[in-house]
Amino acid sequence: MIYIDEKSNSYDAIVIGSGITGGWAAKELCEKGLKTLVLERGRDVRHIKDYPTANLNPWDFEYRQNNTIKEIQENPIRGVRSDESDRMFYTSDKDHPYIQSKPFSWVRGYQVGGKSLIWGRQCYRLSDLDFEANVKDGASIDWPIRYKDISGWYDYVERFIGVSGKHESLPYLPDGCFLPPMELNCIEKHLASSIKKNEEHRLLTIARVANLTRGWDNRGPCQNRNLCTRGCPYGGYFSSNSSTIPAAAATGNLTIRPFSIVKEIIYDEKLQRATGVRVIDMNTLEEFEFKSRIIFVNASTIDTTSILLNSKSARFPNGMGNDSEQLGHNLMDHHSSSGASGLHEGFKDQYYKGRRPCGFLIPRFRNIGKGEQVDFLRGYNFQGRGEREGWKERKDDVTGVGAEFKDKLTKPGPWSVWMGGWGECLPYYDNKVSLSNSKKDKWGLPLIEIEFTFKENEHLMMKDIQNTGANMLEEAGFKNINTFSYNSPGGSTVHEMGTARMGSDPKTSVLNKHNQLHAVINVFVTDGSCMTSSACQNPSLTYMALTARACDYAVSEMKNGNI
Amino acid sequence: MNRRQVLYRIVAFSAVAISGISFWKYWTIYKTPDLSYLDLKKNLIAEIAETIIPATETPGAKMAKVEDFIIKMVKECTTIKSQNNFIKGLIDLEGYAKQNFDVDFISCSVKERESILTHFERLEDSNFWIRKLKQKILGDNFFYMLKSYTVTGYCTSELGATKGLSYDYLPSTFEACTIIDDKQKSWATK
Repeated sequence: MIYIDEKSNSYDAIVIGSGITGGWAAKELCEKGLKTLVLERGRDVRHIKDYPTANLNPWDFEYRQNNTIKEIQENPIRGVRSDESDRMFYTSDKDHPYIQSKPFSWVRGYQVGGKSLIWGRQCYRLSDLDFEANVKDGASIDWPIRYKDISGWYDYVERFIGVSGKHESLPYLPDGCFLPPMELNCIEKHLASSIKKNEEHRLLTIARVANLTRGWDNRGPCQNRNLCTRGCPYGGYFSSNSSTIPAAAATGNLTIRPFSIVKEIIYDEKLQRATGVRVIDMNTLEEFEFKSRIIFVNASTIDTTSILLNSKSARFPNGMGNDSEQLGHNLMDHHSSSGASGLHEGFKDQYYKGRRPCGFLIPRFRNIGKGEQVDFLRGYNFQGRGEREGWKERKDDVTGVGAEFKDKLTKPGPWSVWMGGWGECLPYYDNKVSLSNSKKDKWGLPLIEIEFTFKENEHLMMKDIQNTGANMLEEAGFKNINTFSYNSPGGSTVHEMGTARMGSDPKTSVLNKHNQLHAVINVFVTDGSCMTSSACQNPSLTYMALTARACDYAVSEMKNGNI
Repeated sequence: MNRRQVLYRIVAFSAVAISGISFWKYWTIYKTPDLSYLDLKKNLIAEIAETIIPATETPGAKMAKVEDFIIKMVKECTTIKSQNNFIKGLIDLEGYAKQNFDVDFISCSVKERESILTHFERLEDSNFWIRKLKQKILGDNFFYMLKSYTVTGYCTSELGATKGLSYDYLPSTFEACTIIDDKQKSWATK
């Protein structure tokens, strides 16, 4: 891998961003022989070497993984999601401000590897239930692809990254190429059998995750430490840093330039093509230009959109590829802040050993075929986990002080299950990302303005999630059942997507079925911004599959002389 | 100060005004606390923590130096309102010990110390929602903080995690269902 700081340089391809999709674009393009420049706005993070907290104990941290009031005040979004052990992989709100027209928690990971270091690792395929949803219920424009267009690419990605999971033969949540599944613990098995007995259209299965249950591609296996967000010294889960970037580097075709904030993509009116990008060095504020034949924009949904919006020219006065006026609109994020929890009095002589880095999944069951029809569109899945209460919970539940209190505190408490509904969010034109006309950041770029709310369909779903979750727990004999709705703002699930959507019609969409800008055929966008609807599955696997597919198409078009 | 905070303060102020308490109470919540008081009372804090989690067949709070953690948490990870509650709580606790047992808390027997702490635990509202509301308006309850910081400090210390609890540094495998007896300690981390 080469790091550069030349002022001007030409490449076959430029990839903007090095996160989960940028890493994939880099690997695919490099392996196909293209000299590829990856531009990353944050610092470099090398696999293992740059995971300083990975092997630390709780007592090695000054605040024992609590945040100071100062951190919470200065970085309210980073402060609720991270602590001393993984803060280095979360972007500071204070240093990188944006405008929340309505509350929106924009979680970022500005570094080589992006948020692939801290992602939830859940890997679920979309199906035609999802790809056909918009056209069937009329909520929005149709996807330009169907499951058959992407299923082979799901295979391809899963085989490379390594996904553990269990085959369930559900048509609407297709099986993948799985490593052996992780195992449910006894309370989860109990809940699973209760659901199987009581609910015709539902099932509970172990989460499908990019944690390796056996060695894979010279990585892993997962050591069941559940410290993933610190970076894994065993390479136990997939990240750009552990996997795609080393693969890209191994070809000898990769160049990475950290601290490179892309200001805009340069458009040539005569050629009707993008010819390169203009970059600001994050530290020196110097400007550079890099040229290439094709450009992949993988800066993460909101940043990708802002780069396109800021790439203005006579041809594109409102942002590159924005003939449809859809660029920046239809922002979606799954809601995941409502659900149910409960305690179970049984299984007192059972426990577990090891810290499994995932929970369980109850796949979507609402509005499927002739199954469970309800008064809202689409559906949700439950993600949760069962465990025995530990000292963190016991300290608030057990009264008293002294030896008896200590004894209760340090023994396993009752079994508990927490589960939240991860729900589909419809694309609404007025949920949007735009650039401020007046306010700028310290690099002179316009501040990003985010306006987002969940609406009636999502709120109806949240209610249903609470009731349904509580019912399933009740049927399984749980006590002290609580339903909750944290009312977290958009962004909290960190599944923001949809602001440069794919579609067949250039009048209503930004990208075509190959993730290619309708109007600029050598620019591809394959991160979350391309999504036409959100489904309810965790989306990263789909982004990766779309990226590999688009790279394949782009290179074949280059070879055919079309780009 | 955002709109929500202003609102809370108005509500808080009205609440104390209506309940007939003077402006004094309002001021005691928002004044800048004298945090050096905590260092002066380090020994007291250590003894309180040890009363909550005493040395038994496994180490107690004092051996795990939980008082250092508690002071750090109150100084840097606690809001001003709650800091004031904590300091006032310590003063009240000392006063209560003197009044009822004629000696300092430190000189009380284990039984007496436990009864003192139980008294302060009972001052907490048992109703979850009232407790939440009070916490929002008046800051965290003294005893809640004391117990919470003690437990956290103990369970995340090396002695507490490895001796008081079970610490599995490198599990390697996951065993989904194991059979345990009543001596089984819970896992220190999840």
